[in-house]
Amino acid sequence: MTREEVCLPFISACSSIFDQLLDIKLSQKNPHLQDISEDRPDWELCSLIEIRNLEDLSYGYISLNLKNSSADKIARKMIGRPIGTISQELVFDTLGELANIIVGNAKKDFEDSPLKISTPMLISGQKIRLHNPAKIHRVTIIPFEFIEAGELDFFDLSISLDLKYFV
Amino acid sequence: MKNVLICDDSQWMRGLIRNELNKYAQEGKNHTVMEACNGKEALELLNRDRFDIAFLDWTMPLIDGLEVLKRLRLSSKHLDLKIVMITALSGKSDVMQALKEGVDDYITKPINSRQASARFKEALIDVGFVSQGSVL
Repeated sequence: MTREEVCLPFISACSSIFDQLLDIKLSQKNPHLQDISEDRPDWELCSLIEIRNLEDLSYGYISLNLKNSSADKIARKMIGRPIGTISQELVFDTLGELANIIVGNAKKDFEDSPLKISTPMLISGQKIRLHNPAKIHRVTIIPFEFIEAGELDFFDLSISLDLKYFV
Repeated sequence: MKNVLICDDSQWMRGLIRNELNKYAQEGKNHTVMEACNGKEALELLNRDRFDIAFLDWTMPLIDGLEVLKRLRLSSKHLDLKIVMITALSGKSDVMQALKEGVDDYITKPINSRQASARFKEALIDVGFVSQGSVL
């Protein structure tokens, strides 16, 4: 299975769920490989998904990464109330459900594959960096941009797959 | 009087389903809506009170929605209960598995699509929560 074949369902699910649920059109920028040690934006909210091939030993991770400011905007849009009136717990709950819906939609494209895809796990904090979760040195970064309330916002999908098996 | 149970571990999703119900709630007709945030809580409520319809998420802590469905369908007490799965799992094999276990309908999240709204309304018509001629 290729790296691209693993990534595409997640990219497609992100685009369609943002459009359908949030009425936000995502603009996908050029994917690129990045050394794990290179500087990246200081993400504050990550939704981590484990991918495991049941037929061999391959595994990897996909994470959907956001800054708190973007997370707040998305949550506000989903809940339909100003962010100051929403508890942090509800923001996490809402974004967790968003990640869950994206992964659930992506999963249907893996029905006939041996890949097992986990339920997403939400991680919050300051300057989150996922250090080499699949024992590889480079991750594929797929940046997205979107306009919300007239402001340009962004997030990315980072894909780290074991290169021995995912070509 | 119609009794509805919403079971989902996401507070946001429970609110969304409740809003959908409120859209269809008929003036002058009483209904109660109860919420559970996991399968264990749902089973406790379903075994304690009588419900006409239950909206069940699949992926939940403690007891998942499929297991709740299996247990309900094994019990003669819940023969008349309409069970609708509302879940992010949209694969054919997931739908088939839920149907095999006796789910009445299966709605894929997000629930704001035209298709999901129509299925939602259909389920509410079936239990008499909404009248057939409702414009919404």
